[in-house]
Amino acid sequence: MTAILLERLTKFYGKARGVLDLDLEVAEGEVFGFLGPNGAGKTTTIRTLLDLIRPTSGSATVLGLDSRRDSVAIRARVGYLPGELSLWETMTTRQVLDHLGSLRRGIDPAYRDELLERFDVEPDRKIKDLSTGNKQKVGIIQAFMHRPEVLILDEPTVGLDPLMQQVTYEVIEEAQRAGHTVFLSSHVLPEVERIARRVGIIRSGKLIEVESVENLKERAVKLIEIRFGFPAPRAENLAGIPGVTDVYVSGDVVQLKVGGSMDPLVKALVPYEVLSIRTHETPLEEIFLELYRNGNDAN
Amino acid sequence: MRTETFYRTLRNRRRSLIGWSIATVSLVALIVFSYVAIKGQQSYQDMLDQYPEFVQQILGLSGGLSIISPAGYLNSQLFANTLPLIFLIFLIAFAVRETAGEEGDGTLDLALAHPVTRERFVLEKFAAMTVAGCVLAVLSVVTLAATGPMAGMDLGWSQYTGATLSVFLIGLVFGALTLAVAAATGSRAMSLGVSSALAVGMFVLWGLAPLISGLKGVDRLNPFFWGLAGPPITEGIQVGNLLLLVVVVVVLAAAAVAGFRRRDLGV
Repeated sequence: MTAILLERLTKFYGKARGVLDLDLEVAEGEVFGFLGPNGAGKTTTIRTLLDLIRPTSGSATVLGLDSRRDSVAIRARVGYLPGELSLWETMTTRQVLDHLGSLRRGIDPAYRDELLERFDVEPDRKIKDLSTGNKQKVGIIQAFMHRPEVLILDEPTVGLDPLMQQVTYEVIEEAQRAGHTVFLSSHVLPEVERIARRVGIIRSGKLIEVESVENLKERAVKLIEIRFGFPAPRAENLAGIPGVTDVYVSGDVVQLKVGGSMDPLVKALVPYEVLSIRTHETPLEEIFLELYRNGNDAN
Repeated sequence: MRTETFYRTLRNRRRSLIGWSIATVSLVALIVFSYVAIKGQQSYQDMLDQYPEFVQQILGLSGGLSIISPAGYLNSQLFANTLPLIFLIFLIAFAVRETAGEEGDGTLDLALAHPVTRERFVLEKFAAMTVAGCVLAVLSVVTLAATGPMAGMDLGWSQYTGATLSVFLIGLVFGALTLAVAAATGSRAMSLGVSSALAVGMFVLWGLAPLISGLKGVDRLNPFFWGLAGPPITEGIQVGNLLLLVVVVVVLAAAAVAGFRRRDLGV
């Protein structure tokens, strides 16, 4: 079943572009990463799902429910972490969580307490006395504490130290194991790479790519370092191989980039004595930049 | 689902409400006790008689009310100016803070990402504002009833209640107006500006009405007229006028709901 479905979702703020003709399907039980730079339309999309803002045209459904008509039913089944989290400053963490829990039919108090412990949050301090990171932790706890079927997290790890980022990833993975769907936006790529199976990349309000993380990496340009036994091939010999670029020879070591399949390169290396091949996992970051460059060329 | 937003709103305004309660009780008591100094000072009344009619109107002394009588004194010192001002400032500030303020702070985003309808949210905010205003109104009546006899005033609960209720409803009209503008625009500046400007304008018009013949009849469209004409402290509550105030409040609350339902929320 489909957890989130966007159909030609378009949002304009007056004449300013929010998002344009987004089509996207996220399956139930999937962890989906929504990637893009700030201002690309990630938050606009997310706030539309919760009926905080209304689409100019097109539609959004969550768990088969229409974002306009069934917004209350959607919000009952979703846990949401806003991108710019604000909590009531004069209340304590406990009061905030109690209040938000009461706005729902109920939460799992044992799970809430477990999360408070795992995130190391002291529940009786006032929000105004908390650091940004600690506020963010409270935001994460309130999104998870009722064990929602769908989690919509707008930049969940902003302001968290690495240890707490790790706890966040664990909590997300646990939710997924329980069969829940996670839709998270991020501009931090290793994060998405770490927890999402599939990513959508949004740029200037348009979805430019939806792909599994694996395929994206497969298709991406790989950085390769080859150590040859004597004699090493000359740079010109390697540069002609399909997909190979940026050849750099230094003694018996050759560095080059390969786009797409490795096959032509491997076949071309047969006559030489190859001592070692090291491939560097391309960070999603570079794939991302590559896509962006292409996007810019298209404009 | 209980009225969580209502309770949370009142709890978060608790400190402000306590401060305003202390101020209201102190001011009302101070005004009542000051009556001791004016009681029986005929010369004071003679001096006021020389003032132009619109000054008397603004002072709450039109229609032959005497400042040295308890009713005339209370009307001129409390019900025609001080108490409306208390209600206006408190209720307008409350409405701005709790609607446009929450939107500006960003806490609205989180609250409305929960299974709460927009209608319910606005109505609970309205209810919280009304109840908070009622607290000040009740305190005003109780203080009057408690201190009045000490200052030698021969008025009773019904007069105090009627006059306070009338003035409270004026305040509630502008509180509801603030709520409606805030709900429709989400702007603190807009809601505060529109309602304060209208409140001041209407109050001045109420004072000028007897002076300008062109305003005859038009002044009947003024919430201050509905709540202050009589005045209620001597003539008792004007049921028709109070009903009018209530109707306007209800219409404005409905407008707040309608305005809040249809728009995008700010971040």
